[in-house]
Amino acid sequence: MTHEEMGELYELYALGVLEPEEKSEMEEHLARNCPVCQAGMRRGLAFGALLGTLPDSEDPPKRLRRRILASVGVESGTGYSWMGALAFLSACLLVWVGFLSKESSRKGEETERMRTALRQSTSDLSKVQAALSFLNEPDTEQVVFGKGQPLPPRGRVFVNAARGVMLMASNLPAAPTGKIYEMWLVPKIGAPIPAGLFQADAQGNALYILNQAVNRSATKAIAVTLEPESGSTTPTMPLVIAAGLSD
Amino acid sequence: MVFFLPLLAAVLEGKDETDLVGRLQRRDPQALAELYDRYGRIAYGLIHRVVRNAAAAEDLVQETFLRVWNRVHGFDPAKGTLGPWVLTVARNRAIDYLRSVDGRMAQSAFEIEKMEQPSVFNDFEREIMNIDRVKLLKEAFQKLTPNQREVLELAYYEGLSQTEMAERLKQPLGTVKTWVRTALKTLREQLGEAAIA
Repeated sequence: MTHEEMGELYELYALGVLEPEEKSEMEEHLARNCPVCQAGMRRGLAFGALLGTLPDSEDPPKRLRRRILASVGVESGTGYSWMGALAFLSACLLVWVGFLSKESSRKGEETERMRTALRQSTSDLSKVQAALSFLNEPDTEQVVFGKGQPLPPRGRVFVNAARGVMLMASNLPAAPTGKIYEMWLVPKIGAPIPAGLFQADAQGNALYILNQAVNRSATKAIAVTLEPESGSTTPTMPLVIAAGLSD
Repeated sequence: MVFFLPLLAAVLEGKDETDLVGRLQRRDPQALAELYDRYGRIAYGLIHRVVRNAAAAEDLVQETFLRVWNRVHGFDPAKGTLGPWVLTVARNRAIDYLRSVDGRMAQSAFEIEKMEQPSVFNDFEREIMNIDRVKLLKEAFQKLTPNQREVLELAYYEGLSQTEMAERLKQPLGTVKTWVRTALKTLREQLGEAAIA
């Protein structure tokens, strides 16, 4: 077999896939230290190595690295030097400090949340006490609004000429951004009188008390509208609540 | 396939490996860790492609790196580069495994081992597997006909001889030999000046 005829056989020899007769002939050539064959062999081996780059690289499982290193005496998890252990300890320390800092911050936030909740509860309690006091007044009269209507809101208005007006409402839609609810005293004659601003809570409930004497006989209704956050001097239609008082 | 080329480039065109080989020869376990970090992904990808079994691939990657670790004293760091050797050992371990599973041990493991002696890789030029060659090979491989690609894959990934390929493909031996010859010739031509000398 001539060198020219051997052509691709170097690559196949390097891959270990030559037929027995071809392999014998190849080895005869190589045994002669023929420079052409030596070069052909190098080419074949390099070609084989290059073919090894064709498949996509893949991430082996992480345990494999530990396995291989353990098989040459590197204990799993101990690293290779004190530097590794030191780095690991430093990392642990950093994590611990970070945890403490976060925990402290979390506790601070929790305390603040509890303070806020306490303030809210105290405020709610004051409102309830004021409402009870309002309701206990013998001259307080009440008007139900929204009853039987398919759409919210519903509730009651309590009027006491000496104490003022208390509004208890539910199913109030959330006020749009930049808007607030405003209560109005609607007189029998003349323009509605602003009677205070309030917001509903997240559940759509509101308890609002106007603590000022009202001219009960001159008032024919209590109304609520949605107004800009600074409030209005005249109501913006439509009315959200309209509770008519008896004559 | 192109997305991993930058990673491959980083591996294949990395720093001089003289120091790494020296430390491997002095039995420094950290050097083995470096060797694995450098070639572990490529070796695992190649072996997994051949054996198509993750558990077997793990065993064979371990065998590959231990073989390199145990034989590295025969490697001349001044003359060679580790990449081609590691990949050759990886491929040969995988083919040896396939043959043992298929009962094809007659295709002697000894012959394969001869091709992975470190001294065989001593005269390789340092840039034998540079990224340009790898890219060119990938492009050239895609230009082969399906039959040409298949016979090269059967030889490389399954270790089949041309006679075995002919049986597998139910084609005349002459046809298979033509496909192999043409495929190799085409690759050499496509690689052009970057062809392996």
